[in-house]
Amino acid sequence: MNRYLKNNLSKEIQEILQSAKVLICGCGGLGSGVISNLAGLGIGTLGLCDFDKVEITNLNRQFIHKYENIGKFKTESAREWIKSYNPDIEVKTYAEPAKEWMFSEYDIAVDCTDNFKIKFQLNDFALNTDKPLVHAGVQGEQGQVMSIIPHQTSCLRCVLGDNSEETENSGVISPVVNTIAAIESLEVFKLIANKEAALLNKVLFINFKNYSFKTIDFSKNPHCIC
Amino acid sequence: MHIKVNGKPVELEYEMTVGEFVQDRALKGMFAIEKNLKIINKEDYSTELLQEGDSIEIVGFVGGG
Ligand SMILES: [Zn+2]
Repeated sequence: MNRYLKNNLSKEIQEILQSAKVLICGCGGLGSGVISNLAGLGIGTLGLCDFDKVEITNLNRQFIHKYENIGKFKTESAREWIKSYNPDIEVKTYAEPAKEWMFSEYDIAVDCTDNFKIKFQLNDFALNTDKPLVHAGVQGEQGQVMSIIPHQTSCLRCVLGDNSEETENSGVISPVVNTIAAIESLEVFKLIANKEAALLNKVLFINFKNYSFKTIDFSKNPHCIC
Repeated sequence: MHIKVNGKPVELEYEMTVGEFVQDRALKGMFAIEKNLKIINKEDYSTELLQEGDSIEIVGFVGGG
């Protein structure tokens, strides 16, 4: 347990992290940051879901993927990194789109995907399996994070309605996406360690241009399917 | 009629609902509308009327990862 000494957590909390299973949907920009933060914290089991392969254009921000892994599935490349960093972590990989049954096998899911169509799908998988989900999105100089405890706190549909139109993503620099990923990871930690989170029924919006951090309350929408 | 949109003064030519405001501005993509610090549910856009002095925030969500 020396490995986690500087986490400065109680033995009980560290054991709770050790027994936790977290599904990471997307092993790209957000996923890379979430994977490295959760591996550092000592989450016992990480599920990695992504059907993409590592490309040269990923390497401006996705630090867990090595140059030599270009062309490999991101899930495999991420597994290699985790095993080299912390061999005690159990890793499961899914080189395919996220499915509802995957959620059933984990305690919490993290949305690290790059489009709203899938973000809404993950929201619905979380509702159907009753698993907490940490949502985030990032683009340019902006990002947002929210945590969802299904049927208890507001979900993505409460906030955005049934709108799931495709949005265009042109890219992001690494300090921005890694900051959002770090906050997502912190929410995962809070949900596991304290069974609550800071961003329930509210969304944190960060504008990196002027460092504005703003949380907006979104209460549960009575019209929502959740 | 004068309102504020994202902190800036805006003059509306006629009284309108939040729904008409969204249409008028051709807002697209993922966003929520906050009126006087309260989020307006999409279902209420067609009935929620904007009034003199209201403060509107258009809160954009981004979808990248
Ligand atoms: Zn909902």
